[in-house]
Amino acid sequence: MNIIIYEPDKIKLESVLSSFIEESGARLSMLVTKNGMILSRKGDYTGVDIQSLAALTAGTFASTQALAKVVGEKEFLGVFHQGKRNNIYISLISDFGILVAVFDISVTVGIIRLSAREAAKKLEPIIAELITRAK
Amino acid sequence: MAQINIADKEVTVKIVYYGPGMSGKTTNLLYIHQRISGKNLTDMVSIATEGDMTLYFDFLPIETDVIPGFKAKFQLYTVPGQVQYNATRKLVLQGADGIVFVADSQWSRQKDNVDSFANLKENLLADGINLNDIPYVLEYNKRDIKDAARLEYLDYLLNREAFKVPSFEAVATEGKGVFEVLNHITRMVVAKILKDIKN
Repeated sequence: MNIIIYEPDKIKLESVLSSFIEESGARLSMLVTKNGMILSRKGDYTGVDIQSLAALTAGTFASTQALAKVVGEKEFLGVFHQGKRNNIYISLISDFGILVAVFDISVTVGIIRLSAREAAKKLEPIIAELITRAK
Repeated sequence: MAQINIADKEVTVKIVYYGPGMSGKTTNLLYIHQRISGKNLTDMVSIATEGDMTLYFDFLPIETDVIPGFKAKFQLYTVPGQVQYNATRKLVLQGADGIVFVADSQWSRQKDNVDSFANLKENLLADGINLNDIPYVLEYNKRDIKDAARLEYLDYLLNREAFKVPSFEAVATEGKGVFEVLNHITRMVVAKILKDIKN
């Protein structure tokens, strides 16, 4: 099963990420598959190694899901990493991918979480189409 | 599960280095990292314990032009080899497009090789994947040590699935065989992707 992204898919995915950034105030945002591959990205990537960001966030999220099972949860829907200047929020999208948002401390995690939920609703049908096509 | 981005002319594939603890998986990646020129390489990420054992994974992304008109991004991962880390091993293995099984040539480690190979098959099956359906190669590492098992014996132990796969001798600490293995597995993975696309 190979995921194939054509120009119209790229445009659709980027448009959702752009509105997510606009609404939430995040610095950058990316849609990553659970195995650490970048499907789409938007925002300011200056000085960020995006390949490593994708691999590590996918890894973090995978271990978080395993942690959820340890405490009897089916899954955790989001993970928040708090830094001194930058924060990261990772949320689950349709059981297939994760939405990663990097934002500075001027932005509250609440607005990120809310916007991520909205973005997830828009991303789910696009991802469903990619998966159906891959099968 | 490779990702083919027609819009950006990019193909991304995941290759996982598997094998028992201390067989040299991370050493393979470190050597590749040292030898690949700067413009095609970002930093290697290593989540290791103080004893230099991989705790979660090592990650090294490299870019090449093996597919005409496309940029190929290979994401190289290692798994933690120690038996007790199976949960994390399973997570890293998810979605692998190709596997390099790094076996330890020392006589005393043969049971560990066989156990780790069985564990690989088991972990793939748990995800509904048969090892024979995924490109993989065997790397017989540490060929420079005195009590190295004979190649025929390693083949007898590990290269006995439905069909024989390419196997390579290596001394990863000196870089011997490392790129031979990487070239081979990447070619196998790309060939499979091209075949899948044609089908």
